[in-house]
Amino acid sequence: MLEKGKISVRQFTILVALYTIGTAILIIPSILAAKAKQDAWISGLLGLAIGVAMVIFYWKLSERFQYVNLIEILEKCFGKWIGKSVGFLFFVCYVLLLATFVLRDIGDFMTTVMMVETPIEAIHIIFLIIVLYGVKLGLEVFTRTMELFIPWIVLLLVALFLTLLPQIEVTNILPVFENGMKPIVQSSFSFLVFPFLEMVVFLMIIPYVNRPQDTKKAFMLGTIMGGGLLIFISVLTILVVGPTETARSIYPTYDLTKTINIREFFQRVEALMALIWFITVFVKLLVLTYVSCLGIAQVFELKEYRIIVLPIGLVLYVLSLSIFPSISFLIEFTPVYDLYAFLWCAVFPFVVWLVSLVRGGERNKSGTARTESG
Amino acid sequence: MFRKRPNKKLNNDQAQLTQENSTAQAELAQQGEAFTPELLENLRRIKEILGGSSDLVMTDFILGGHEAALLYMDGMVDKVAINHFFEHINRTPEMMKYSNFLSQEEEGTADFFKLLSTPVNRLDEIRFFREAIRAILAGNAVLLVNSVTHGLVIDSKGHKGRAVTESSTENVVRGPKEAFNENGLINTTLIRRKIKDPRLRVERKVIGNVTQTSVAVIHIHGIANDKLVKEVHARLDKIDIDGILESNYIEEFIQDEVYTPFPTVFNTERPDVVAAALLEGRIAIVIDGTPFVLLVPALFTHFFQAAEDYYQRWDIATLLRLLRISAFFISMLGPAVYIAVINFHQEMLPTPLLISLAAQREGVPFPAIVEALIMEVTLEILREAGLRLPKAIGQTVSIVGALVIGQAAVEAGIISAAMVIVVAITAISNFILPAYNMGISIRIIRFVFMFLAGTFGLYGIAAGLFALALHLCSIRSFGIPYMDPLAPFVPDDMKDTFWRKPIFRLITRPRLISQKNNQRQSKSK
Amino acid sequence: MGYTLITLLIAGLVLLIDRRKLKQYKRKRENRVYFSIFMIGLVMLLIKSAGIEMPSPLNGISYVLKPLTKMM
Repeated sequence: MLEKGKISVRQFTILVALYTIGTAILIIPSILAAKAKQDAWISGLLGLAIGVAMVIFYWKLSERFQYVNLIEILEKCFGKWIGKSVGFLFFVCYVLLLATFVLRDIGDFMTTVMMVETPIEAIHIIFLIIVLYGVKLGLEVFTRTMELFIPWIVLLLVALFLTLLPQIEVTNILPVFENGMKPIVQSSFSFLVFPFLEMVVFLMIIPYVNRPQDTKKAFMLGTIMGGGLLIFISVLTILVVGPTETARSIYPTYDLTKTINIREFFQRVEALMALIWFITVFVKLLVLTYVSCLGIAQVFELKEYRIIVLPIGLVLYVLSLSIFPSISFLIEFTPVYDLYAFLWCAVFPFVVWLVSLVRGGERNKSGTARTESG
Repeated sequence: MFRKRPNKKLNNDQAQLTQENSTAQAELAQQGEAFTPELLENLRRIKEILGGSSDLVMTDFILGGHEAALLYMDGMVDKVAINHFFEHINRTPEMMKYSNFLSQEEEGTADFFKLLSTPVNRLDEIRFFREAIRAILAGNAVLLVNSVTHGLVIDSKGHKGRAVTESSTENVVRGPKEAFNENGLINTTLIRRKIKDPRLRVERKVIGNVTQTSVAVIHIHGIANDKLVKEVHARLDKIDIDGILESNYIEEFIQDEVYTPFPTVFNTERPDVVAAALLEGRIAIVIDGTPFVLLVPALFTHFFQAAEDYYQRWDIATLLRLLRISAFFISMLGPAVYIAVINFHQEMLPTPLLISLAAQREGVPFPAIVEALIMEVTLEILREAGLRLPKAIGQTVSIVGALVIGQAAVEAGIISAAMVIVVAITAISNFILPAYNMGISIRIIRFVFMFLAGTFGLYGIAAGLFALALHLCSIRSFGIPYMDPLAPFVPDDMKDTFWRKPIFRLITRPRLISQKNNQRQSKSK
Repeated sequence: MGYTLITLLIAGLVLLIDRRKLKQYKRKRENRVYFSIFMIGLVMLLIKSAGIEMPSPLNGISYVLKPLTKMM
């Protein structure tokens, strides 16, 4: 076992919830509002429902293989060498890439709206140092840290909601179904891809929960909590700012916090509210970096994953700086990315599942034999 | 766990060391020998081992027709106890009768010694020089009789120490006032007097090759976790040092984590705090020679709990605890947030305040971070000066220094008035924490946060907080996660952390600390 | 130039921190994997610091998947 620590089911739920919120909290209102406009909440709920179904599928996959981690699943399914290579591809081409995106997201956010003069390199370095420190400390420690963050997030969100209460305009969300179903479904696909399909990385973490058979409920609960919060934030943004403005904004949640104004005294606290997504982005990057390190270490059968944390951090750092040649490229790339993520997170596990069904009988037998012997 | 320091001594030194060691070993061998029947020979040997110290007193007298000698260290024994002993042997008529039995026969000696037992003093039989030396050095008297190969230790420790006085570091308005003093024996007694239960276990050991300091490990059997008790003993047994002069010597040896600013061992000079901790299942280490008793495991939340939280009503106790937590954050982040807001996030301030601050800062030639550093360092200097000087001067220095430097600096336009306010609030907040050693860690961390705020603003502070949270969650105190019960979250144990529920609601003991016998009171409510 | 210097500093720091861990491993495999990843990172960092535009891996993905996206 590469990871010797164990986390509790409760900690797993928190991890899933915070991971779901992740970077999504910053941009999800505009993604949802882009096509569905004021019906964002419907497409949100639709996306969440499909998302939960996907999460259950991931869990079933894990259950089918007696809760071993993803690399071991692949090895059982495709044999040692093919399994390893596919796993390596998955971790390098998807998980590491996703981590790069997340790091770049926070860097872009900081340099475009909060601290315009600060070089993006400095922001990446300081964020990455803390993340790598967390990964080196191990799963047990950083999930404990997450528990420490929960009250702060709740506190800030409640403060956000209460301070925005006077500015809510219910008319913003009407009329319902103005443009029919099609835009709603389109938006919900983006919502599905963005936070929910990324849950596939938890296939690497389920084995380290102390009672993996109980994780199904936790996995669903965490997803619903995180997804629910995202929908809540989107609706709040639309209620306060309006659907058109929301869709046009790059960081709608940040713009939302900018509108807080209580008697000219409590105003412009967006820097304080930014702590919410600093925390969630931090958690997401931590999980992704951890999973990539763990996965790559497992592929090469290293004795522990901690040894490769820093070199991977180095690669992550350079990649995050040079991944987007230009902003226009990014805009062009978004639909391509949706498809790319869909391939890795939905098609790929589905293929694994199919293969395991076909080879099912003997594999399962050998699986149980292994658990009995060891 | 234990880290062995790399042995980097020069060869030259080592050679010298081995030589010294060999002579020391010879002495030890001599000390390990048993008494001879010859009294004079015994006395000569003891005198030789002690190097003819001038404070060694040998009183010769005749006991039951035999030559005898009483040996003790002048000034370390209670003269009354010695006199009492002499009166006792002179007054006992059977002494003469038994004198015939006094031979080398074992039984006769035993009876004789039994007879000597005075009602007050504890007596121990000894056979070896080593034991005699240890007893004499501990302040006991040793009785040696000619032609007998046994010695007798008479408990006569009578070192004049400080009386049990009021606590000087942990004051209360309501609650017991007594505090520990430097006498380990009295300290254990103070604890024993609070917990009159046969399950209270006191295990003594001697640590320090030269100082021979007596250390007592105290726990309540059946409440404390046995594994934890074993671990404490194991760690104490590993200590190999010449001297233990204060509990911190032990603390630094037994703590889990070396590279952390946070204390993982609690210290207190209040017997009631120790008793409360023992009842929770924690373990106390009483070290002779210091009024500060160690408590392990010590978790983060323990450092925010004052004794008086339990002696005042629960509502005010809860509010005070919340106040302390806020003070913790103010003390840690105060200057950092000020720097960040002034440098990077001026928009957060209401316009009138911003204008007034800008007006104040107009004449100040430094950036906020330099300004803050000047003030913080000045404050630290004043604080240290006030602490080390004699009391009367110390107070004058701190008050006058702060006033004069603070006001003069503002008037001279070096520092803005707002910065003086921030630094002052920060300093006061630091004093609100009941545990001095936690205050010290915050003082250290404050500077780190100031640098982070000066370079990255609130983003830097957030990054620092993440790193701090990770670090806090990574350390353990005797195997218990330091942030318990916050992380891992134990809902049941939250009853006595940031808030304190009424005492009749504190039904169970902290789950991770005392793993068995969890019930504190019946659940009748 | 200054940027390259910082780059080398970062790389040196990484090695410094991991020095003890690397020595600890008698097995060659850990060290080999470590240095492969480390060299990839370092080379990329040097290219980046020299101011040469690196081809983004996203170009490849884009190239392969673009027709598929259009189809959908």
